[in-house]
Amino acid sequence: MRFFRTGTLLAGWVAAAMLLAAVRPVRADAGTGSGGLHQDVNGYGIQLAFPDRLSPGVTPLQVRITDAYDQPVTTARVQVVQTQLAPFSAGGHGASEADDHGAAGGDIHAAAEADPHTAAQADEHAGDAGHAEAEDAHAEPEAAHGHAEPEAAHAEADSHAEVDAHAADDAHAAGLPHTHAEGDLFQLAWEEASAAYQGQVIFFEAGQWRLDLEFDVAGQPHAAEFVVDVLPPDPGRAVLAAFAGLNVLILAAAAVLKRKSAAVWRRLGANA
Amino acid sequence: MTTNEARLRTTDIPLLLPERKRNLLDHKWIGAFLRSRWYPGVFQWPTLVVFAFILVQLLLGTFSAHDNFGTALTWVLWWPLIPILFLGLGRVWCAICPFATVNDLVQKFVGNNRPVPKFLKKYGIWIIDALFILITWSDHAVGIVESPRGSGILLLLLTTGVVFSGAFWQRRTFCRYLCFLGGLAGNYARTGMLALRGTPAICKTCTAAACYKGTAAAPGCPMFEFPKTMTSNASCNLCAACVKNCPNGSIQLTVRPPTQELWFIQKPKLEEAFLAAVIMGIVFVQNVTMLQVWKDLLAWFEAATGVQNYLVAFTLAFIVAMAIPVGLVALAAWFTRRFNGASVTENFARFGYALIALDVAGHIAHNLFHLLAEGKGVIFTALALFGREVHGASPALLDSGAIQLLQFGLILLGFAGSLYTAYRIARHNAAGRRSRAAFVPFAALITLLAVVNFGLFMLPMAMRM
Repeated sequence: MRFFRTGTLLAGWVAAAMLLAAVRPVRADAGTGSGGLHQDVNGYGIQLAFPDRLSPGVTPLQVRITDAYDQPVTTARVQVVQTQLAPFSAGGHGASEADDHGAAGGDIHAAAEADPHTAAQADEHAGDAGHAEAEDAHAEPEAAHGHAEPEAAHAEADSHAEVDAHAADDAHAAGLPHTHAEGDLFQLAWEEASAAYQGQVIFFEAGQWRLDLEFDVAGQPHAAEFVVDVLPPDPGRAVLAAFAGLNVLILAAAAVLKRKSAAVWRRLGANA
Repeated sequence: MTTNEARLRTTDIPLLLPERKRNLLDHKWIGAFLRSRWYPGVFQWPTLVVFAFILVQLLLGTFSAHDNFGTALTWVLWWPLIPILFLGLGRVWCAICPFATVNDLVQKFVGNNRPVPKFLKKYGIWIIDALFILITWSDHAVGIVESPRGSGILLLLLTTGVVFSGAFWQRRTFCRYLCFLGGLAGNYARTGMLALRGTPAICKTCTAAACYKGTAAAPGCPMFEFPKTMTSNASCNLCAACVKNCPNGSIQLTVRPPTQELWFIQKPKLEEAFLAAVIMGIVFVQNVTMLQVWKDLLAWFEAATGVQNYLVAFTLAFIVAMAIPVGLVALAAWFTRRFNGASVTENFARFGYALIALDVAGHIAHNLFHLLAEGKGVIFTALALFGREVHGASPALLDSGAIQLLQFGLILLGFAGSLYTAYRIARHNAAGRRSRAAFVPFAALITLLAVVNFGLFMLPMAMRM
């Protein structure tokens, strides 16, 4: 076609490249990346930092705790417990599960969240076994790890949460049974160079995970809760490279065959 | 009245002769635009750029379909709009489709331009039927629509097919003989309101065949069509190459009533009728799996059969859903056989086309939900690209009541279109009481399918994103 002139062609690809380069790609971690998650708990600022994209496996974790004067707290004992809230859903933030499970479970979940000590009561009042199971699952790790912050403190933490609110909301609405692939306790150690506590957590599979961060400063326990999305290993670039390779092969084969047939025609022409 | 007399019914003749209609190419602006070298390139290039961008988003953007701009553009915006485009303008999308542009580019630089293999010519539509079924099945089995990576891989597979076809075969072999969307488009374009044809009186004396062979102005028809003998818009993509090439100004572009082409199919093909029935099954599957009752149905199925594997259960349900419309058309064809004397296969092929109007309506109605209930998702995900997150806002453009009303309206239109088409097909192939009798089984079938569609759209659907 006339339209496919080299100049036009080049202009098209340059325009495409500029468009692709200009637009910032969406981060695959839905906002839980290097920018980190922040919460204020009892006057302490907690900053959680991860690699850009959370994938299953051992994940380095950095926690910075600052006091009311924005000075780093260096002497705290810091530990974190991870709990899986929901398996990975490509539909986004477990939305479909949220729809399916309805709001009833979500209410009880929220009550238990506000005060873990009331979990037992919630169990007693839970109308069905499914809800009771969910409550048990939620209450268990908190009890096991001495998660005993004052109710008001927890409420404050919730209200100041700057975590991936979107994800957290969905999880609360979902009222999912907490299937936590059992929460391990990871200790974090102070590191002067980064002025933060360093350690690692293990996410056993992709999905939505809750991180219960516990720290005590001068014998006073505090806790914060973060919800993060852990994504499956990304095949995107590998797939793209594989297809690119395959297409280059096809094009190369076609180019070689075209040259050969052109040479044959030239020879036939010369002979004639 | 004999069958031949019925075919030459005088009331049909004005509809068959395009010269009696207003030729849109005579319109100053339309004619000039379609003849200009800017058409269809002016649409092709932006489409290709957007396609490349979508591909990058699907493969390298967020995993969450809910947040992926590529998913939103493809499945919430483009996919619902495409059948509407087919209905209005026929296969015009195929003229500006990025795959076609890739095909042309590859062909320009490394194309070997070998003839289309015979097996593709013979079995092309069956391959399209099979691909369409396979893609719909794999959407549920491995996740395509709900997985940006799955969608990206599908597009890459198609791109590879197109590159191969463009590298080795003539013209747009892929679009004509292999593209599953092309097959769908071909069927839907028959209901389309635009018809491109040669003027018989002019073409009769033409020996140049520039429309097929091409000239310096434009290449020959990329879809292997010859306007001189064209009786269908199923393979015409309105690229206007023939308009530019014809030295005699024979080409006409006319407006026709929707579904008109289906009334007079000269050589009905079983595979095309089969595709029409299969699309009905696919619309059922798409609807049923998005309904809240789907889980209950699966639970019942698992309890009844003991099959616990979702993939097995879905595959069985899928086969049943595909088989029901095909079986029902075959049954109606068997009943009709008693009245018109044609074989079951002939009746299946003839009357299967009547389902297309209801197919289009069901397809548009289903996707209308996604477009109108999730439409703002396109804006939200676009904003996210520039760092502006929108949380908690409804993605709906219309409330569910209004959407449902539109869906019912569409099904009603599709039902009327299919019913009338079946009536015209019956009248075209038989006369008098025999034609009325031949019409009855298919009228009953179309009514049944419309009622099922109504029933499905009455139930609440789940979101795609």
